[in-house]
Amino acid sequence: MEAGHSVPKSQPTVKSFAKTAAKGFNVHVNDKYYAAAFLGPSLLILGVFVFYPMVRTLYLSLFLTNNVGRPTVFVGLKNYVSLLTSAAYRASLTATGFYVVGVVVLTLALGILLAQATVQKLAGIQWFRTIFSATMGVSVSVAAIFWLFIFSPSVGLLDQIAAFFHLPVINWLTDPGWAMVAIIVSTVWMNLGFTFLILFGALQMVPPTLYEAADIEGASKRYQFWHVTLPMISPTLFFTATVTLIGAFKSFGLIDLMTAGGPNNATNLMVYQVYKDAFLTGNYGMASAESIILALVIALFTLLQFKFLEKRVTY
Amino acid sequence: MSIKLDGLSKAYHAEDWVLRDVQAEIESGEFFAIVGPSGCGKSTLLRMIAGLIPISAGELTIDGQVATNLPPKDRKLTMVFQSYALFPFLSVTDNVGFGLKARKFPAAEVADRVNRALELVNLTEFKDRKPRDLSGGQRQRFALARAVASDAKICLMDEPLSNLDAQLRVKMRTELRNLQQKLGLTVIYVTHDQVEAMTMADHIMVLHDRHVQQIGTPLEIYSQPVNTFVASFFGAPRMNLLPARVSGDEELTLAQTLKLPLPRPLAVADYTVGIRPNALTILPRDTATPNVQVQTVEYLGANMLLETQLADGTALELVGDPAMAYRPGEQLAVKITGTVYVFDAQGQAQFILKEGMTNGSRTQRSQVAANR
Repeated sequence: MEAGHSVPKSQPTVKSFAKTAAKGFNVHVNDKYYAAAFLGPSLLILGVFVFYPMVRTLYLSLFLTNNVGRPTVFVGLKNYVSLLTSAAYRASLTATGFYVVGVVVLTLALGILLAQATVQKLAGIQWFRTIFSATMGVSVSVAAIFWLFIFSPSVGLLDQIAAFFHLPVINWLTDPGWAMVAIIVSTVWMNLGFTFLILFGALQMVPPTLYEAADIEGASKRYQFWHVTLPMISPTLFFTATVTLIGAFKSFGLIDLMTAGGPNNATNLMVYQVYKDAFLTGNYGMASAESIILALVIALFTLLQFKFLEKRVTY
Repeated sequence: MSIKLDGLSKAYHAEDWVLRDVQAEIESGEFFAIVGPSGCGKSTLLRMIAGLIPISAGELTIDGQVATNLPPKDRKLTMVFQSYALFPFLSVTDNVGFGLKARKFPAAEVADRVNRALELVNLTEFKDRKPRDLSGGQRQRFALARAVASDAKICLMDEPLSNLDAQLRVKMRTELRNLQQKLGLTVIYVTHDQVEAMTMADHIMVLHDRHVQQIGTPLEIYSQPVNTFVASFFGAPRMNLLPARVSGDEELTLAQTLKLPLPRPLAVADYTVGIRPNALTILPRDTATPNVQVQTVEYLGANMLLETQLADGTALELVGDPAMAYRPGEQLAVKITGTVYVFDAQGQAQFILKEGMTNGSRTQRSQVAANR
């Protein structure tokens, strides 16, 4: 909208800018138009695809809606109240919390482990690096099929192995507890490629002389890991933790394809609840309220992370 | 804490030596400099002594104990790196105490030693700062403090001053040397800067082309170089190396023009003669027949550097009095008034003529020191 009329103006603006700049760097007269020309396109795109949906979601969360998403009755905060007092929704919050913590902790721990293992200079190590980062190129649907093949009750790979060794067979995707484990494992596997690559890069950036100095000073390898490696990669670790945390809160694809929130809502995470309310039952007002809660929760955790961790990781 | 290098060699691939048969004995409390051009293997040698890279052949003895295969932490030494290798996330105090903490010293002793080390290098007031908040010279002193705090009596230094600006480098040289004397440290100091080695070291090892060229005091290295490499590497401006020939008349002919009498007969062959610029004197204008032509001049303040050419085109570097305002293109008469070094065709020192002579006419000559 604003960009609409500022774009045609940009031509003379640039010219006069050049003229004033040539005269003596006195450019502030045309700064406004100049800035608008640059900001316009991105403001337009962000406005249409981010800001408007955000405001609309907030608005809808205060209404009851009909089955095509038009607001009907203004109910104020009643959607929120009924959500937060509902045992089912609180169970969904708990499940989400469990899932997010599991995913973040395991992703980071395994990521560091793999990166640390492959940062050594050994013959053929680049093959491992490629393989470990390969899940970055796997789409969610393919990953879901792969993990279904492994976790499927009785016919899945894991259960066949268990049967072969006469171990108790676990109903991975139909037992509420194990279904959560299964989706955490699958998500961690999906995350690992990216996390590995980023952490591997961070490890490579640690100057080798720091380890040499530590060697001479008499620090053991374990001591070096905790007192040199971790502090050195902590900024990257913090970045990865934040990205993984936000990603985990927003997980949808694997859950939809593997458990569809089941069994018995055990893997019914917050995003999945939004999806069900909006697109399966057409309850847009409720879904909007859930979206807002999700956004607030993510914002809260990200803020907490920054508040408590960022100070420690910058050097 | 003496150190003995007995035939130390390094090869990354079988028989492809990057360092061959290094032989040296370093006395306790000595400042020992390893000097050589880039890529000569001096840092490799230092890392072998530190235990950071394995020794391919030979034996390393530290304080009478064979240390060839000991891990770095058991070699009773510390190291100052070119990049200082400070931990950017730790304060000065924690950096200096890093090794002590890793070795599980009691907290009180760690604090005590760290404070003493910081006092020694005058960094006490910066103890809570992070490395990035310190200047280059402070970081350098801080890296020294870390080495000192461990109480090890051997300190290896890998070009520790090369990241500092010229003025600071000169200042730190003195500081380093004083600290070494005060603590009685045995220092092995790697540098490519011959001036640094000359000014600081008790003994200098010259490394070049995988081999030790010469080991000696700075004076020995400067006044009795064993070959043309050592001769031209030490001293600024560099020594002039001129092609020479002995013909039948037992005279050495320099660059086909200057004649030099010989103290003892030499085989008829090609030789190289080394003359430092300060061993050449420019005669006052119009007092003798000119024998060189000035190519370029460089003012250095106290004196002036002249790039000249002999009649046959051989380059000859001279130092002159800036007040004389020599100009490019000018013809000058030059006389040899100082030490002349004679090397054989392989560059090995044959003998040294202590006083010079002019245009082939015989003058006094003194004792000739034959090397090796």
